[in-house]
Amino acid sequence: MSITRLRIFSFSTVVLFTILFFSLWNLQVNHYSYYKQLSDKNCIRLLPLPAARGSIYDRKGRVLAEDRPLFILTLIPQEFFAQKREVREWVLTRLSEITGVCKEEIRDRIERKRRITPPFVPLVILKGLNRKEISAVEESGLNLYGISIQVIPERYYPYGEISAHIIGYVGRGEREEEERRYGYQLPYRVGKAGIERSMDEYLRGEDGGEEVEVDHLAREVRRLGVKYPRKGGDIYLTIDIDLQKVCYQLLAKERLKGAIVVLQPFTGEILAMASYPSFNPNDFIEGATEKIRQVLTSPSSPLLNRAISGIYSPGSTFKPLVAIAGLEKKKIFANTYFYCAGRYRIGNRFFYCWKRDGHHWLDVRKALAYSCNVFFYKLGERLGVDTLRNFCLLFGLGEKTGVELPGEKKGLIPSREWKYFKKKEEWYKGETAHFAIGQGYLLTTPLQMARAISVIANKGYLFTPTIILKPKFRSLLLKKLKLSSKNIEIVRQGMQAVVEDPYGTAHSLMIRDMRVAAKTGTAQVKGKEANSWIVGFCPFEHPQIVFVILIEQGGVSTHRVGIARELIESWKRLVKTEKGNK
Amino acid sequence: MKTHFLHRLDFPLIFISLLISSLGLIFLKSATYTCSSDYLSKQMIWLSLGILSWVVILKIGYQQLAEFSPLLYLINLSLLLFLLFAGSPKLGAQRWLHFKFITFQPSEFFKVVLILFLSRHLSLSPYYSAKELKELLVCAGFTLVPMLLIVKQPDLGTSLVLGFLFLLIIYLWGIRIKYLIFLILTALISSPLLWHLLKEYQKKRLLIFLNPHLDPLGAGYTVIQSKIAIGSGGMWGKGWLAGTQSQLNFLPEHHTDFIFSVIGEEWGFVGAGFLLLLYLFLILRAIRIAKLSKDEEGRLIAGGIAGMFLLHIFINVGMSMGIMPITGLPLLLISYGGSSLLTTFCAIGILLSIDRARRFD
Repeated sequence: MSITRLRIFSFSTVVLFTILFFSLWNLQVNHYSYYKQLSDKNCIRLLPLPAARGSIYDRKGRVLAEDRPLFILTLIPQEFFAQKREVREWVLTRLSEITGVCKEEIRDRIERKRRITPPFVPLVILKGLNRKEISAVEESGLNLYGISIQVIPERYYPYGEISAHIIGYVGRGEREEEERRYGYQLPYRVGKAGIERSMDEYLRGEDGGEEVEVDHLAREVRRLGVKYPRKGGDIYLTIDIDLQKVCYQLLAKERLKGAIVVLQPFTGEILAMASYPSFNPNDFIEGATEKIRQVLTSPSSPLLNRAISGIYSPGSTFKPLVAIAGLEKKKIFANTYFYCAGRYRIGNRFFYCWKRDGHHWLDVRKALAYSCNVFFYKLGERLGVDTLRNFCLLFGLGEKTGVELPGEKKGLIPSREWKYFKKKEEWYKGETAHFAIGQGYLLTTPLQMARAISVIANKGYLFTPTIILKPKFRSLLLKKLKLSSKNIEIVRQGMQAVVEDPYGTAHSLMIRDMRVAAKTGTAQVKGKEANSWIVGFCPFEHPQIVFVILIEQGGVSTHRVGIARELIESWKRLVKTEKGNK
Repeated sequence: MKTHFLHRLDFPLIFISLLISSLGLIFLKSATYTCSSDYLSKQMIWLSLGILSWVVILKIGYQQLAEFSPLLYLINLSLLLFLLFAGSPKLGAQRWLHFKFITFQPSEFFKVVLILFLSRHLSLSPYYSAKELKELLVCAGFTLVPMLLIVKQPDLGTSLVLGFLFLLIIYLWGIRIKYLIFLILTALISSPLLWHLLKEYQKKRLLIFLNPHLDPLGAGYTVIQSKIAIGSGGMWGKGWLAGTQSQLNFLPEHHTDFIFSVIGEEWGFVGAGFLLLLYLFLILRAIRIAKLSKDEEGRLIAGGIAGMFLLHIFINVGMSMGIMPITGLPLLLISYGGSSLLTTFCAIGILLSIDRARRFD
């Protein structure tokens, strides 16, 4: 039985080999002259058809990132080097005349790239040709020698530094697809930061290409195969570029390192997110080496999006959350008064209020308005570190907010376990006092603070902030927190008093025809000037925006309230003109 | 009775495999002439390891080896599982295990391991028609698991080779033709169902696999370049190191999967045809060893190995000439690649061992 089957197997082997012999004969003997001619002239040409990347718009449809056509001068090595030496020299001279680039430089570029690419792939000699140069090249007849002009899409960011951290930029990428193993790889753009990176797959599209047979005059004779490119998808951001510009300039005009976040407290839509210092993403596209080097080596790290990747102690802006914790846990009530003598003793150490002669008796509203430390030392002592930690988690501190941007930091909420694990020490009571005024180990990002303050502004909802308006990649994520609305109202009144009380720390935020609630914070940094925070929302009754301003080494925050005022007034103006336009 | 080690070996088989691999070195020299990396020395090291593997396998003997095959199967399977979770993406696929200075491809070895394992299993339960269906299903199961793991890598070519080896071995074992037809029909019918389970990019990859011209800058381009290279070789070829298509880097992967194009271009119909004749002789020799084998186990193993050789050669040469889909299957004994070369040598070592056992009887 088995032997018969082995015989059949032998027979099949012979049959299959006959097929191979036949095809070999067919290719090498029957069609020899056809393939010989193709081979001699190297007539197969690959024409990449790169896909346009999707554009990025702001919420009103203004372009933040788009592809623009870029004219490039290319040379196909196999056609160029098939020429005689004198002809090649002549071509180089002509090119040099037309483009104004020195001949040696062109020769150098060709030689350098030629070694690393296959001979049928067009080498880019010059980028960004103008109309005059294009027509000069086309009339020169240089296309006979492998010179041609191609159009490729190039990324352009009209707002440069202003939106750099949100949009990011694109760079060269490596393809990771199996079929690329055979064939040739197009230069490939991939998002390296910001939305360009997090939404890369959606924006990207799919490159195409064409394979054609050309005759000796480089005319297309036959199309052997084509794959059409597919354009990438467009994205609309929740950003309002006018407001973004305002925020960026508030920081840039005084060269203030820091971040500003403005968002809508009921939807979590981010209207503006500025970070300074910034960089110009167009430099990365053009490959401006010197500028890129500066950006990468600058000690102030311009690439860092301070709004989501910078972590800071929240300082006194943390106090509203502690106040809510105290009210919820019934450690204090609306009418509970604590006495501030300017200092408070825990163990054998004194903890001071910023006002050394003390605030005397005050309730939670006044404590917020004057940003009294002693009140919160006492409250923190009653709450304890574990409760403080739980409320931080409740307000979404110490975790990524989930905004659609890469590189978000978590920050840190200290706990007994963390301290023991990290420092091999138990938790001290004095550290609870620091915790309660937002100092010490606690670290958050400006966006986390904006989200936490939104809970107070919108009376109890925690959202996942979003920066993408259209298309909807996810539904609105809103979580109702178990907080009594009465308690939130008390803290809201406290934050209002920060502005409206004549001695409130942000009294200069009093604006005609709009009530604003805010909280300032001056967070000590070891060995450096303190960081200043201003957080708040307006209008008071039905807040439309929540803002968070952080200035690194900004000093006493009360002196920085002017920035918040300018921000709110600019926002009001923008809303007004918008209404006027409608 | 103590015999000399070289005694009673199948010298024609040894001669032919060493001849093909030496020719392979000459071809490889030409295919990598313009490369900076020293492929030739590495290939020679693998070749020496391959010859060493003959000594080891002849010492152990194929029966012992087959006895170990369940263990080998398990080890190899766990390597595949490991790759699934921790493989490093090289050329987009997770096929390679990286050690300090070598990379290693477990799916290559699996072909031989599967042949040993299935042959061992089937030879232990000699053919009774009553048990036929049960054995069929058991073996199908043992084949499907690695197939799925290898498809995931993703390496459709090797996976299909495993499926083919399974069919061939149960055919040689003596399964009734109606079952075989039934099996093939089931596979055909279930494939449209599987199609729906595939992700979009996997479908695309399969379509390109079947029709490379869908991707003119990728696989389609390579097929055309390969045909031009072979066709322009003509009857006598352009001469060693003189193939313009391959020397000028027109052809991607021309030292691995597409090395036959280099051979066709530089040595012409005469050279490439001669190589095919050598291959034909190699396979027929393997089938002869199967026929003469003293036991069922040896017969199945030798048959399976012959089938593996046949499939590799037919698909690789076929795809170079554009009559077969593009798969990652290397050209036997010639393509650059350590795992594949060593696997082939082990397989030949096993053939030698089977033949030697007969001569001792």
